[in-house]
Amino acid sequence: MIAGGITVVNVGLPLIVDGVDPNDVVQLDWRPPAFGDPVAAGLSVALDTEVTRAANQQALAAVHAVRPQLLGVRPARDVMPGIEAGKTLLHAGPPIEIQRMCGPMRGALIGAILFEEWAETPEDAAVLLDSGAVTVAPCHAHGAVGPMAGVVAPSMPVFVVSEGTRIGDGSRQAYASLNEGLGKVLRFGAYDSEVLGRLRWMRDVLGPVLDQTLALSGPIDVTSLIAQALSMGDEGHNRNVAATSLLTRRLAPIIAGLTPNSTAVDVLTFLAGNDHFALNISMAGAKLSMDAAIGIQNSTLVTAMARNGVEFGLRVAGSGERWFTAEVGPADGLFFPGYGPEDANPDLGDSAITETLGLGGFAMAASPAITQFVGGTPDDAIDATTSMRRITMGQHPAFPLPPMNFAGTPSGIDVLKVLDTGVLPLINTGIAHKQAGVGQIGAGIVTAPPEVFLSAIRALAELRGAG
Amino acid sequence: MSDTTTMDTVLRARVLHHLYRDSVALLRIASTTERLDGIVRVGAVMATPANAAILAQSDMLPDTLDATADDLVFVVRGYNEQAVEAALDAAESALTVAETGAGQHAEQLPGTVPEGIAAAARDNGVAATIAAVSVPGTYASVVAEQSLRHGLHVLCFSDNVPIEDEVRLKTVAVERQLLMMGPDCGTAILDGVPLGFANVVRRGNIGIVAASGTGAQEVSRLIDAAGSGVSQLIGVGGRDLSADVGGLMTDLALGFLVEDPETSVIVVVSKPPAPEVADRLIKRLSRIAASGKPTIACFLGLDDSDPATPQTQVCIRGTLEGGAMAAASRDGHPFDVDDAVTANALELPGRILGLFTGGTLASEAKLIVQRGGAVAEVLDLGDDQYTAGKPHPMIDPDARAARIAAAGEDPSVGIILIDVVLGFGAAADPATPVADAVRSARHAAGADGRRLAVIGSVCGTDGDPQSLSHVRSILESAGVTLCQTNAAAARLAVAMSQQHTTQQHGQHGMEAEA
Amino acid sequence: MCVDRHARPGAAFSCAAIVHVGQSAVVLRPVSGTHGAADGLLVVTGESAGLMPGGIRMPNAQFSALLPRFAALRTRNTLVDATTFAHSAMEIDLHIRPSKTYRAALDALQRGLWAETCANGTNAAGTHNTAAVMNPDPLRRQAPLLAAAATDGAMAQVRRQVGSLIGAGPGTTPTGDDIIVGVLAACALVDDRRAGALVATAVAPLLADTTAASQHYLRAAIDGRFGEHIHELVSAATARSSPAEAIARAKTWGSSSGLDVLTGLLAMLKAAQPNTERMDDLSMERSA
Repeated sequence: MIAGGITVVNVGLPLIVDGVDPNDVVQLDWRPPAFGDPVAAGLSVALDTEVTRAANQQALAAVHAVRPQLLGVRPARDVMPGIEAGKTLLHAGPPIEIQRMCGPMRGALIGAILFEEWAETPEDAAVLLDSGAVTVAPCHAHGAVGPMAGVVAPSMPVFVVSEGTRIGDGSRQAYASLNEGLGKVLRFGAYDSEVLGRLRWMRDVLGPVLDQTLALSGPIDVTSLIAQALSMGDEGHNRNVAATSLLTRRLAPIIAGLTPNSTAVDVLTFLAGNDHFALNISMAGAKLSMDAAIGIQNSTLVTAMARNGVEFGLRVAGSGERWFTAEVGPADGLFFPGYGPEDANPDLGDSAITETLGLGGFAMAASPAITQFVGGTPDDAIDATTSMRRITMGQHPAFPLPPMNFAGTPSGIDVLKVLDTGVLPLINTGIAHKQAGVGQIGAGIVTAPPEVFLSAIRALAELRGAG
Repeated sequence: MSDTTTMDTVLRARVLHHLYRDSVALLRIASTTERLDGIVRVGAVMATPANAAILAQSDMLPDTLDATADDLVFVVRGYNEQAVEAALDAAESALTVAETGAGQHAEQLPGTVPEGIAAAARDNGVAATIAAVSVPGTYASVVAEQSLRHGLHVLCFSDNVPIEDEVRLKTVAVERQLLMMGPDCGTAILDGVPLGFANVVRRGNIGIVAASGTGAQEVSRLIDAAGSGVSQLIGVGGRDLSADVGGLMTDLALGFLVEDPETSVIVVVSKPPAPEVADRLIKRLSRIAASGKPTIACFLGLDDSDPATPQTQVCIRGTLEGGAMAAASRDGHPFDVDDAVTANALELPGRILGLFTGGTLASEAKLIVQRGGAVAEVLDLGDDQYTAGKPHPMIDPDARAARIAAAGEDPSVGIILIDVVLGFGAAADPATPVADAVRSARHAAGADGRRLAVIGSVCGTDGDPQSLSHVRSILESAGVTLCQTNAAAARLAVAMSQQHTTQQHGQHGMEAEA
Repeated sequence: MCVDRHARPGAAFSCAAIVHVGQSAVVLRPVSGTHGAADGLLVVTGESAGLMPGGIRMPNAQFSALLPRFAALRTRNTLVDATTFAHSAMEIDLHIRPSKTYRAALDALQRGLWAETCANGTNAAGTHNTAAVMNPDPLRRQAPLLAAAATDGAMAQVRRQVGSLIGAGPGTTPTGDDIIVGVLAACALVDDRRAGALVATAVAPLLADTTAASQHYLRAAIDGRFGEHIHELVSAATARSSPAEAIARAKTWGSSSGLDVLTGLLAMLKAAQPNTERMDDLSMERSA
C-alpha cells in the first residue's frame, strides 16, 4: 500500500520504531526548530515552497554569476553616490544613532572629522559630531563596506570594483576603504597624529599610485584572486596574507616602473607590511556579488550580515534593503595576553559580508592555520565548513576547497534552513578593545544572533501573505 | 625496566605511567602477546599493592618495580631476552597508539526532516516514505506539516496538538493523498510493519481503520488468534471522527483499503463518532460493502446489528470482541468467545475496581460493567490526570502495580479487573510487577478475611516480543483469572459481582450481556 | 545533558586521562588551588556509558565530537573550562534509594551471571587466561564472604576481605574494587546501613592502595552515589527492567567491570534478603 516501501524518518522517541528493521529507520538528532519558537517554526515551514525554491535558485545564480573586477582607487566623493555634498560620514553595520555608538566607532568618526579638517581638535570634532552637523549613514547604503568601525570619509581613497571594465560605465559598482594595517589605526577608533598622518599619505600617495597602477595593469579579477588565495591557506576574512602577496606580486613591477617612482619604495613597503591589505578588496567583491540578489521577490537568501559594535544586522533578498537587527554582547574568543572578555567590544564591522558570500568562517576548511588565532583544532576548521553546509543553498562554483576534494565553499545562507536546523552562521572575527584606539585584542569565532532570523521570517511571511 | 631469571626463562616488565587503557584492549593485547613465539606468560594490570602481591604469588613480579597504583605494568615471561623485549615493544606501541586518530570528524547526524530524507537517500539508497513524530505537541504540527510537504506519510504519536492544526494537517494530507495518522495516534501496521504500540499479527486480508490504539490492538490480536490476518492497520487519531475533523483521515484510509488488492474485509474501530460524521461514514461503508468488500463498524457501545444481506450493508458491533468476531468470520475464520467460566462463577461481595493501561480497553470494560448494573469504578491509568510527568503505564508497569497492591487493602473492593498489553512499545516484562502486586493484594485481603478476585485479559499474540505464554503463566500462577477477551473479562466481573444496582433473584451469576 | 548533583564543574580542569572502559570516559582533574580541587575528579561521558558519580553526561554525538578535542587538549596540556559543559544541564541525583527487590529478578540476574562466567575459568571476555593476576574469578568468589561478614557485623572478617579485594585484579578499576562498589550498592538498596558502614570503615584507610579512578568511585559509593550503569543493574533487580538486557549492557563495561559490580551486588542482596520476602503461593486460595 505504501509506494516505495517502508522507510521511516523517526523524529522523537526511539521506541516508536522498535518494530521496524533498524536498516529502514533514520533517527533524527532533533531539537526544537526556530530556536524554540513554534510560531516562527510554522512560518518557516509554510514558506518552504516551490516559489521560494525557484526564487532562491534565481538569487543564488545571480550572486554566483558576478565577477567583480578591481578597476581603480578613487576619492570616495568622486565615485560613491550620495556623499558629495555636505558633511557625510559612513560607518559599518546597520544604521545607528550617534548617541548609541560604541567607543571604537565614535573614535573613528572623530578621526574622520579631523582628517576632513571639519574641526581642528578632537574636542571640537566631538562637539561637531554630537551637534548633528555631520550626517552618518551605513556604508552598505552607499554601495560600500568597511572593516571594524568601517568609517569612510569623502576624501578617503576607496577601491572600486565593478561588473564592467571602466569606472562609471554604468555597470554596478561596489566600494571599500583601503586597509591601514594593524595596531593603532582609524578602524579601531584611534585618531592621533600618527593615524591622521597615515590617512593623509594614503589619500595623497597610496591611493593615486594604486589607481595609476591599476589603470596600467588592467582590471584585476577579484574572484580568481581570492580563489587562488583559498588554495594557499587564506579564507578571505581573517587570513589574507596569500591574497595580499599575490596582489602585491602582480602590481609590484608596475609600481616600480611608474615615472616618477620616488614613492614606489614607500608603497611597496606598506603593502609588504600589511598582511590584510587584500581583505578590503575581498569585502568589496563580496558586496558587489551579494547586492545582485537584493529585491528578488520571495527569496530567503541572506544578502548581508554586518555589525556596528552595538547591534548585529541581517538583510534578506526577499525583503530588500530592510535591516533586521539585534543587540549583541561582547565578542568572545582567544585573547592576546593581558586582555580578556571584560575588555572586548561587541562584534564590529562589515567584514561578515565575506561569510555571507561563502568565505571567511565558511571557508575555514581552506585555512586550518587560522585555528591558531580563533581557537580550536584543524579538525574543527573542517567541521566548521561542514556544518555551514547545513544552512546554505549550494556551493560557490568559483571557490573550491582543496581539503574537501575541491568542493565549493558553502554559499548562500538560507533563513529557512537556519531556523529549521538551529545552526547559526559562524563568523571568523577580530575582537576590538571597547575603548577607542587601543586596537585588536583577540580573535574568535562568533555566531550570528538568533533574533535576527526570527525577525526576518516574520517579515518575510508578512510580505508573502500580502503579495 | 627490570629483570629476573627463573629456570631458563626471562621476566621483564614495562611501566606505563598514568596510562588508562581500554581494559578490553588490554586483555586483547595481553593475549596476543602471549601467543607470540617464545612467550610463556603475560600480565597487564594496574600496579596496585594487591596486584603486585598477586603477581608475586605467580612468580610474575620483577625484583624492582617502580610504579604507583595509577601506572599500568606490563609483565612478560619468556624463553629469551630478545623475544621478551620484542614482545614488550610491540605491546607498548599497541598500548600507546594515539587515543583518537588524526582527522576524526564527528558524524553529522541528520537533525531535520529534509536532512533525514537526504540521509536515507545517501546512506541507504532509498527514498524515505514515512515520518514518525513523537516530539512535544508544541512542535509536532510543524514537523508533521514539513513531512507532508516533503511527500511523507506521517505517524503522529504526539498529543496536545490544537484541533485547528489537526484539521489543517489532514486537509493538506488529503490533498496530497498522504496518510496523516494522528495526532494522538500510537498504533499502525503498514505493509506488515508495526509502528508505535502494535502487536505482531499475521499478515492477512482484514484492513483496520482505527481511531483508537488499544482498540486496534485488541481487535487485531483477536483476529490473529482466530487464524486470520491483517492487511493494513491505519490509525487516524482519537479525534478524527469528531465533528470538527469530520472523519477526513478515515475517509482517505478507507479509500486506500478499497484500492488495496490484499484487503477483502474492512473494519473501522472507534468510540461512537459525532452523529453527522457517523451518518456519512455508515453510508460510505454501505457503498463499500455493496461493491464487494464486507465492512464492519466497530463503534464501542452501540447495539450490535447485522445487515439483512451481509454483502450489501454495514455490520455494526458495539464491542471490540464483536468487531473482531465479525471480521474474522467474514474472512473465513469464525471464532467463539468462551464464557463457560462465567456460568459457574462464584459471587463475591465488594465492588469492581478496573485498573487499565489501555484507554479503549477501559472504555469497553466500563460499558459492559455499567450495562450489567454492577457497582464499579473503572480507571484508565494512561489518562493525563494519572500520568502527569510519569511514564505511561504501558511502558512502566510500576504505578499500576502499586494501585493493585493498594486495592488489596481496600475492604470495599471485591474484584479487580485489569488489562495486560503486550507488543512493541509495551514494557519488556509487564507481567511480573502485576503478578507480585496481585499476590501482595490477595495476601492482604486474605489476612483480613476477605476474598479478592483478579480478572483480566492479555492483549497479545504468540509473535509478540514478550512471550504470550510466559506472560499468561506468570499471571495465572499469581491467581489472576485470564479470559479470552477484554469484554469477556468484564462480563465475568459482572457475573461475579454480588452487588448489582438492579436486583437479580434466583439467578446465579449469569447476567445478560449488552 | 545531565550532571551529577554533587559534581563541581569548575573553571579550571586539566584533562587527566581519557579512559576507555568499554565505553569512553574523559576524566578531568581539577587543577590544585582552584575551585573544585577538593571535590575530586570530573568524569565526562556520553549517553551510552551513562552518568558517572561526579560526572557530566552528554548526548553521544556531542561526546564523539568532543573526544578528539579532549585528546588534543591532553597532549597539549591545555586546561579545560568545565563550566561550559554543565551549563543548563539537568541535575541528577545518583543516590540509590531503598527499594524492593524481587526474587524472580534476582534469580534471573544470577542465572545470567553464571552463564557469563563459565566454570572452566575463562573470563567474561571469552579469552583464555593469561597470568593469574588477570583472572577475576578467584576474586569474585570472595564476594559472598564479604557479604556474609558485613551482614553478620563481623568487622575483622570485613577488614580481611576488603584488604584482599582493594586494588586487586584486572581492569582500570580493578575487579576487587568493582565488587566492593557492588556490595555498597546493595547495602544502599536494602537500606542496611550497618553493613554499609562496616564496609566503608574497612575501605577508607586502604583507598591509597588503588588507582585514582577507583578511589573516586569508591568514595562516591561510600557516599551512596553510583553511576547510571549501576542504577541499571538495580533497576533489573527491582524488576523495572529486563535482567537479560541489564546483563548484556553490563558486559560492555570494560572486560569484567560490569559483571564484577553485579557479582558484588547479587552477593550482598542474597545475604541481606529477609525471610518475609519469600512468599509462599500455596497458602493462597484460588478464586473462580
